This record gives sequence, C-alpha cells and structure tokens, in this order.
Amino acid sequence: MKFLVIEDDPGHAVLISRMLKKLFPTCAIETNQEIAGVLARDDFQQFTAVLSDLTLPDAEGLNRVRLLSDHMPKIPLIVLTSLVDEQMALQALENGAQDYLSKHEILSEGSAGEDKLRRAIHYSIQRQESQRENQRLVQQLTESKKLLETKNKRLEELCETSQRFVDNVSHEFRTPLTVIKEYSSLIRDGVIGDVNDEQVAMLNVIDDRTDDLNTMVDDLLDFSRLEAGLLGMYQQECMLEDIIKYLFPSLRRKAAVRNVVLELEIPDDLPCIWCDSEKIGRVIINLVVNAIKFCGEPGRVKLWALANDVDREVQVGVSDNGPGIPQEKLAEIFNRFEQHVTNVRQSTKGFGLGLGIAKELVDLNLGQMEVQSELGMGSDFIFTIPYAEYDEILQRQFTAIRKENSNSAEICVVSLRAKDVTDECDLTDLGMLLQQDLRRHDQLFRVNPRHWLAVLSMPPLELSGFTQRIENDRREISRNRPKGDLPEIEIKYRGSWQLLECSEEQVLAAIHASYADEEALHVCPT
Amino acid sequence: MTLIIDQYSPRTALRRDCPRSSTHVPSILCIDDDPGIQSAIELRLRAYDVVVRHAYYGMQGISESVRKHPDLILLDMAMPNGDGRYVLRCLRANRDTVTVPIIVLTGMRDPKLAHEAIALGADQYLRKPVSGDELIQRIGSFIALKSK
Repeated sequence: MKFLVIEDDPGHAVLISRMLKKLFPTCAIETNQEIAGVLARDDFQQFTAVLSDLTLPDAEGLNRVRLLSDHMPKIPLIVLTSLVDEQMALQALENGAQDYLSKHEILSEGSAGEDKLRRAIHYSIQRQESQRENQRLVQQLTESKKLLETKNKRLEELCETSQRFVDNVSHEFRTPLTVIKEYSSLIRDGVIGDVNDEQVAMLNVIDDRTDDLNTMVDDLLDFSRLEAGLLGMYQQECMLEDIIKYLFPSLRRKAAVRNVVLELEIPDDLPCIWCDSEKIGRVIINLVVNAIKFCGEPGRVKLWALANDVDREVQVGVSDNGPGIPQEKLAEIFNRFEQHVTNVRQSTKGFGLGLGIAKELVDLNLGQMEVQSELGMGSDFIFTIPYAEYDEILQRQFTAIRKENSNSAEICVVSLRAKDVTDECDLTDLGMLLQQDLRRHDQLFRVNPRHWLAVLSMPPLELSGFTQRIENDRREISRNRPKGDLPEIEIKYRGSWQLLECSEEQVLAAIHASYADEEALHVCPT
Repeated sequence: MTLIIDQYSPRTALRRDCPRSSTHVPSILCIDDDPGIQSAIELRLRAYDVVVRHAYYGMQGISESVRKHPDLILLDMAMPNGDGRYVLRCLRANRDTVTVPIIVLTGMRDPKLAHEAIALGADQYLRKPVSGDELIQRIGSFIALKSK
C-alpha cells in the first residue's frame, strides 16, 4: 500500500502521514508540496490512493481536482480542505474526486477522525474499482454495439443485394414474356393478317400460359419480399367494385380459354374499404386462377362479395365446383409449396405459392382468409377487408402487431405536416413519399390535405430512423425534380403506447385525446 | 395487375396552350433496349396515322427527343447508357422537352420506382406486360390517334 499526500502545509502533511501510518502500519507514504511536481511524473500506478489539499500555491480548488483526476484517472483521489462547504464537496466529486474530507474533522477529532479517514480511503478505493468496472463494461458495450451495427449494415446490404437480384431476374423474365404476349396478341387481333377461329383459340392459349408465367414471376417476387418483410402496403380508402372492374375482363378471358364460366355477384352498395388495391387485386387473381385450375367439369367459378356490418368488413369469396379438399388437408392449403390436388385442368403446375401469398397479403391488409370445402361439393375461399373506418383499422392494426410481437408491442404516433406547400402536386408527391417509408403494420391516415397521422409499429427509440428515412428520401426525390424541391415535412411526436399493457380502447382514447386540441381526426380520401 | 398513376401535372396545362396544326402527324419516340418490344409497339400502332421513332439506349433517347420533338415518349426504365431515371431527369431539365408527355413502361415491380418516376416527371407509369388495347388507350389520352 502506498499513498501520495499533496499538501503545502508541512505541519498538516506530517500529521496526515502519521495518521496514515497508524491506520495502515505497513504502508509507504510520499509527500509533495506542489501540484506541478506531481503532474511531471508518470509512475502513478504505484499509489493506492492520493490525498490532496484543495488549495495549493500553483493550482486552485476545483481546477486542481480536474488536473489530478485527468492526469491519473485510475487512482482514487480524496480531497482534503480546511473549508466545510457542501457545494464545493459536490463539485469536487463531479470533477473526478472519489471523496471529500475536512482536515479539521480528521485531525482534531482523535479516533473518530481516524475512522473517517480510514472509511474514506476504503470507500474511495472501492468506488474507483467500480468506476473502472463500469468503464470497462461501457467500453465492452460500445464495442458490441459497433460490432452489431457493422453486422446489421452487412445484413441490410446482403438483403438489398438479394432483393435487387430477384428484381432483376423477374425483370429479365418479364421482358421476353411481354414480347411473346404482345406478338401473339398482334397476330390474334389480325394486325398482321387474317386469322381463323382455330388460330385465335391457339393464340388465346399462348396468351393464357404467358399470363400464368407472369403470375409465377409475380409470386416469386412477392414471396421473396414477404420473406424479407419488405413488401410495403399502400393502404388507402377504395372501392372493391373498382378493383374488380379492372381485373374482371382479363379473368373472364382466362376462364373462357379453359371453358370455365366465371360469374360475378357483387352488390352495388358495398361500403368503402381500407386496403392496398394492387395487393387485393393480386389476391383476387390468385384465388380465381386457382379456382379455374381446380374446378370441375363443366367448370363454374363464382366471384362474390358481401358487406358484414357487424364485423365492419367486406367479405370476398371465390367459389368453385371442383372436387373439394379433404378436411385433413384444409389446414395445410395455405402452406407454401403445398399442392395436393391433381386435376385435368392443371396443365401449369406452378410453385404452390399462390394461396400462401394470397393469405399473407390479406393478413397484411388487416383481413382474414379461410377456406370452406367438402369433398365433391367444391371449395369456397373467403377473405375479408376492413371498412375504411379509423377505429376499426387501428384495432385490427393493434391485433396484428400484438400477434407478431409477443414480448414487446409498442406503437408510436406521429403527425406529419407539409410546410410551404405550393400546389396539390407537391402534396400528392409527399403522400407517396410518406407511404413508401412505411413498414409492415404501419398505418398512414390523411387527416386533411396537408396533414397526415402515422401510427407506427416501433418503439420511440426507432423514431429517429423513420424521420431520417423521410428526410433522405425527400432530398433524393427533390434532386432534379422538375418542379423543384419537395416541401419540408414537420414531424411531431404524439406519444407511444405499449400494446401489451394497455387495452385497445385506452390507446384509441389516448390517440384521440392527443388530437383533442387540433383538428377532428377522421379518415378522408387520400 | 398494371399500376396506373394518373396525376395532375402543370405541364398538361402548358401543353394545352400550344395546339398543333390539324395536318400535323403526331410522332411517338419509343426508348427501349429490346427491339422485340419496339417492333411490337410499332406494329400495334400501324393502324393509326402516327410516326414511330426508336431509340435503343438512354443517351440516344435524349438526343432523339431534343432533335425530333416527339409528341409522346414511351420510356423503358432498365436500359444501358442512361437508364430511365437519367433520361427523365435530362428531359425534364431541358426547356425543349419539359412538356412532352412521357409514359414509363417497365418490367420492374418495385413500387418505389413508380413513385420515383412520377416524381421525376413521368406522366404515367405502366408495368409490362401491357395489353395492346390499354397501350392504345393510354397513348390516346395524350395525343389524338386517327385511324389510317
């Protein structure tokens, strides 16, 4: 054990040294009168602790504490002074000292003073050790964090590379398919010359099979995006009739090629639904194409829809007159690569991804998919899409987030407001920008033309990443944008809630309350 | 399913202010690196009184656009020597081509790309394969197509 005593009063230095010898008989003691002499040496490791006066001729008060603690950060430092000042004591500790003692108390109180000095030395050593341990742990954590960040970045790059690869492969497939389809339809449409009915029928088959291949390419692409959690949803208020009206002619043509009658039964007064219309279109295509493949002879497939006011959702169904699915197979029907029925119509087998993808797309659109079937009685594939109602959408979003995150399901609510908007075109571009920065299970509502509300499936800690993404994308799009820079977006944090601890009603009420002093919150057409 | 994004654009208003003469035969510049697609589009438009020009890479497309002043441009996104993004940036930065309608035709399915193309100044974004009828309809929404 070795102590360094820095004291300009020789009498005090002797008294302190004696006391130390008494407390620790085997210890060695070195004394120094000035701080300059101490700072000039580099052999501090030998000292167990340093006891220093607060006022010395060449350095005053806290400045001396800072100098010493910076110079020998690993040695416990006890400050001694003739003043008793609480404020000064705290500041000495903040500047790196382990303890603060009044010289008067330790030198004039006999054994009580000795006890104080012994305790102070022991505690200082312990505190210094724990401080060192803390520093070691912090350093370890910093290194681990750095390592994780590097690995995370690498994984992100790998993920991006593989996505780009799948995108490029699908593009390479789609280009020749487009050419095949376009040339066969040019011949079929009589652009090159007259064709007879038999030739038209054959060309229709080419067209139909090309569509099958295109759907398979789409399935592969969606599958890889779903696997990576990268399939973004662009949900907004829309009408089911519009989606079906767009798809139905090509689906009917497809059915006709295979001699299947495709019926449509949709009520005129369906309410608005909340979904990504393109993804719901894909679901309908996959279900109808599946039904056309597996229906009976003569083939009959019906696409229907119903409004369910009780559960606030629209039900969409595809029914066929096929052989039906055995009960034991029903649970597996949505599994990937699962195909169990062989049928004369099934000339293109496919990957068995279509139904699985359809189910996942429905899940992401906050609906549910089920199949009802009986052997010999055909099958009904039914899925649901929520009404475009704010509370209904949020409740379903919360359920989806809870289902996916059993340990921590936190949501974060932010409002996004466009600054200095000049026209509607800016707002449309901003809306698209915000949509593309959403992740799985996030929702974006347009409160009014220049104001959005985002309910994000993330803890508040990750919010900075979200705002950074928006700003980066805004800058990227603004670069060379013909109309000039996109307006800036003001992002305000509205609160976060742990869904596993609060009820849905509580969270909904809190979100509403956070808006009580602003505009009334409602979903309006985006 | 083909994604179509219709968007109000100030260029549309600008275009209405400068009508072409009634005898003007509209021209379409098709910028695509696939000759198969180029010739299919030309065949599809054979029944109409329209001139179809071709460019097989981005830089050629930019130069043809500036020299020939087409009434409409059909633009692929993935191309050598200047991809669709680059072509859009250049054409929208040039005074002579800033108002020419551009329909992007692409085999890429990344939804971000559609938004990016529209933000860069495309008027419409169509995903391949596009049916002949739909292509004619889309072209017809920008230029008057008269049957021969």
